[in-house]
Formats: sequence, structure tokens, C-alpha cells
Amino acid sequence: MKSYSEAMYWKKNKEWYVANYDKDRYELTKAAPPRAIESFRMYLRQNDLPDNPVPINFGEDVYV
Amino acid sequence: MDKTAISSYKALVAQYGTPISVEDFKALRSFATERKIRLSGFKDFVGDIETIKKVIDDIAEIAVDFPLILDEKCGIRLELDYGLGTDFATTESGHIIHLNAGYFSNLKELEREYEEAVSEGRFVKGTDWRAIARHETGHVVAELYHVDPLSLTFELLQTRSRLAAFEYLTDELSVYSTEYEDGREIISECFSAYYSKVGNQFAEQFLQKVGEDR
Repeated sequence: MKSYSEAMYWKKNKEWYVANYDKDRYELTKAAPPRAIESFRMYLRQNDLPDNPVPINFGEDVYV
Repeated sequence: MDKTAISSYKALVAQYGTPISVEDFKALRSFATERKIRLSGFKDFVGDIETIKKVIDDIAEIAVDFPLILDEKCGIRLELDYGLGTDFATTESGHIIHLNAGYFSNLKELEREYEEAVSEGRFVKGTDWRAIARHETGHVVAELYHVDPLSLTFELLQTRSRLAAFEYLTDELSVYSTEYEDGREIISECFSAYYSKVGNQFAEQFLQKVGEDR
């Protein structure tokens, strides 16, 4: 049991992510700060999920 | 372990304090043996043995429902570990529970960090540091009783969507329960909640189902 997991930091604020049921995956919103983006990447790596580069595109609603 | 390694290990222990007396160690070992729990490394424990006795009691309580966890061959072995970094505890080889010596010899720090995690929703609401052994024992039960936590969760929530299940668990159990997509932390967080008696509805349903299926 971890005392703290940086890989779950992105879940600290519900405005930072959405559950995309069409794609069956979590996605970050444009409200996610850089630390949450890096945390989400850690989560993806930890779970052997595609480690897509996270586009820093503030014109889109979601990342990844 | 060669002489250099022993010396280096002793120096590491000394950073935390003075190891418990031989009498205290024997009392602790006897307490554990009476409850059929094997200990390893506790001669070098520098904290209060009452803390470890509580951990042992927490495991023994679960063994009433899941006796295999105290099986002579594959049952739980409690090991003191000075190299766990920021983990409170870990479970290795399905039945060896490592306790972080740094945290368990400093109960105030352990309580503080655990409470902070609960306040942020990372661990189950209402639980305290006593949930750590319950959490790790959940991993042992999963291994020895062949529990598939994710399938059980799908069944209870009547969904096949991992995302829907994880969204529910994030709100109703803990963020930590959703850390791994294979669901390995679901059972341990349910054990944490159920045996801490915090009235978590999902954990109670989950444990009831595990009990029926074993």
C-alpha cells in the first residue's frame, strides 16, 4: 500500500479529467495542469496502456 | 549477508533508533506464534511492539473468515523492511507482508500520512492506519482464494464497463482502488473498509460475495 501515488494525482480534481465511455477510457480536460498531465502519463505507463504523447493543445477540450 | 552488508544494515537501523530488547522481541514473537503468524526481521524493530501486536490482531481477525491465510505452508509471514521507501506496506509472493519499518516505528507519522490520504479520498473514508494490514491481507486472500476482483466488481455493479466501475469506485470506495486496471487494489480496499467497520456498502457486498464463492 503506497502512502502516496503520483500516478493518481490527475484524479485529485474532477475538472481535470472525464470518463469517455465511447472510447472506454479516461481523458484529461484542458483544465488539467502540467503535473496532472505527467501523472496521467505515469498512470498509463503503469497500466501498460498506450502512452500517447499528450498534445498541449488548449484549443481542444480533451487531451490524449 | 556478508560483514559489510550487515554493518551497513545495522547503520541503517541505527538511523531510526535502538532496536527493541530481547525480552520485548520474545514477547512479540510469542504473541505472533499464538496467532499462527510468522515474523521476520523484528529483532531490529525500533518502535513500540504494541503497534505490531495490533497489526497481528488485525490479520488474525480476518483469518477467522479466511483460515487459509494462516496455513502452515502458504500462510502470512510478516516481515519488517527498512527498504520500502514511501510504501506503508507491500505484499510479496502472495503471502509475505512487508511492513515499512520507518512508518511502523513512528506511529504519529504513520497516522498523519494515512489521515491525509483519507481526507483526499485516496483511501477509504473513515479508515485509519489499522486498515493497512487489512488492505495487505486482502491481497493475500485474493491469491489464496483465487478471487478475481474485477469480475466480482462487474457482477456486483451489473456492468461490463471498467470505466463505469472505476468511476463508481472512485466515488464510493477510494481513488486507490482504481489505480490498477486489473482491479488488484479493489479487493484490498474492500478489506480495508469492511474490517475497519466503516459501513461501506460496496465493500460489504464485495466481502459477502467473496465469502459465498470461496
